[in-house]
Amino acid sequence: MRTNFVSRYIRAIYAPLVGIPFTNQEMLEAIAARFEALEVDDSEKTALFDFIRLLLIGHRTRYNQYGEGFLWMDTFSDHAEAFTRALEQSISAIADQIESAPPGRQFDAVFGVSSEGLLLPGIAERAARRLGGLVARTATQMDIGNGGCTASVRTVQLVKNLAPEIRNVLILAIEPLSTLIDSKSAARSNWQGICTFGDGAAGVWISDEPGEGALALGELSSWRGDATELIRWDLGTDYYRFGIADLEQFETQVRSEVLKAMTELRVEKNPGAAWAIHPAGIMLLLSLAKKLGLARASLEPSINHFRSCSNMSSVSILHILKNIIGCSKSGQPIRWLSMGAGFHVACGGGVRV
Amino acid sequence: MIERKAVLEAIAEFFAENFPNVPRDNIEGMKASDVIQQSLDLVEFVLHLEEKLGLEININTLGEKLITKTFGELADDLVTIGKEA
Repeated sequence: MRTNFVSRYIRAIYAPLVGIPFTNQEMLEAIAARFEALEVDDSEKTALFDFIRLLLIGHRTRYNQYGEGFLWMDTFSDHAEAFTRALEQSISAIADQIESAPPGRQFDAVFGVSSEGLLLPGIAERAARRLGGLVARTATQMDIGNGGCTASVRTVQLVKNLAPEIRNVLILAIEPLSTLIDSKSAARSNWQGICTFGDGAAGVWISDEPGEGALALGELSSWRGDATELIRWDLGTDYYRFGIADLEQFETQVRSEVLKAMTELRVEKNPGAAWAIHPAGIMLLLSLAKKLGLARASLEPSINHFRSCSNMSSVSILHILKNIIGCSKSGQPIRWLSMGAGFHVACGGGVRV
Repeated sequence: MIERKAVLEAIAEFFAENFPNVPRDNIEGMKASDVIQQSLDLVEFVLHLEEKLGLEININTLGEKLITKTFGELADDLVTIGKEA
């Protein structure tokens, strides 16, 4: 019999926008300029550029923490230093928001989440240093890497299951995906990543005490399918880069994995719930909504996020949740569904206090 | 087995419902990029074809053909995909 159950609440989500916004048109112009120096034959270059035009059709923006020269990183050090700079910028932006309305009690655990690189000291230690007295000296401080797009909500699941002694937790999800850009490669999955992702940062404060506007966490679950290699980091020219095991079958495989997970996890079709769905491409989002029986209107927060920020990996779901929690009334059920490398599907939810 | 005519009818139906001002007398010679300017519309277009043709379409399989080929050429590709499915 479980005796250490403790109710937990999302007390706040901190969702700063970090970096410089780039529209699809600006991306296309920057890529066209970079393609002049790309060393591949002309027919391959033309076909690849047409593919990129397809990926960048319409109005969409993403944020980039590297800045204007993001397609001209040239060495391992360029990428690794960009990762460190982006993390510092993101930690500072999240910390600014925490300090504007600090919790009444110190954090006794801090978890850092990122999948793009490595650094010492880690995210948790850097955040604790930045936040000073808001983090107890005895606080648990750990980073969680290699989790992909579901890492943030799976960390929320982990926190929900921690011992009751840990009462006040901060999670920082920081995904500077621009650091993975390999502009010297003609690999299509690489360019799919470049066009799909944006940089992002978010923090979550989880407490065992409810508060105004909090979300009482309900059942949280996750599932791992067999498509372990479907989404992965490939070794790029100078660093890691985004990779897909089988690009041509990617969408079909993702949809299949998500549907298997939804059956196994018994994802509820609660018509009254507000939904946050990870924006892993609009195609997946729309087809999932049909399978879930969701009204198109319920997808708007996820679609709007994708339009304004693109896919920020594990950060996106937190930005969408912040928006939904902020717009909901007391008693409103809220659900989330996220999917990504592993292949993991994570779902959960709660009720707005 | 998917018939070419059925593909073209499904394409025409999508444009009649969503882009009624677009002339449909030469649908075979038109390209999606002539009409569709938003990614959401492109996805809706593919989902419509999936539903009408009973076919699972991977956008990456069609790739840039979605914007560089005419609907007539696209219909030929979808007939081939239908045979392989």
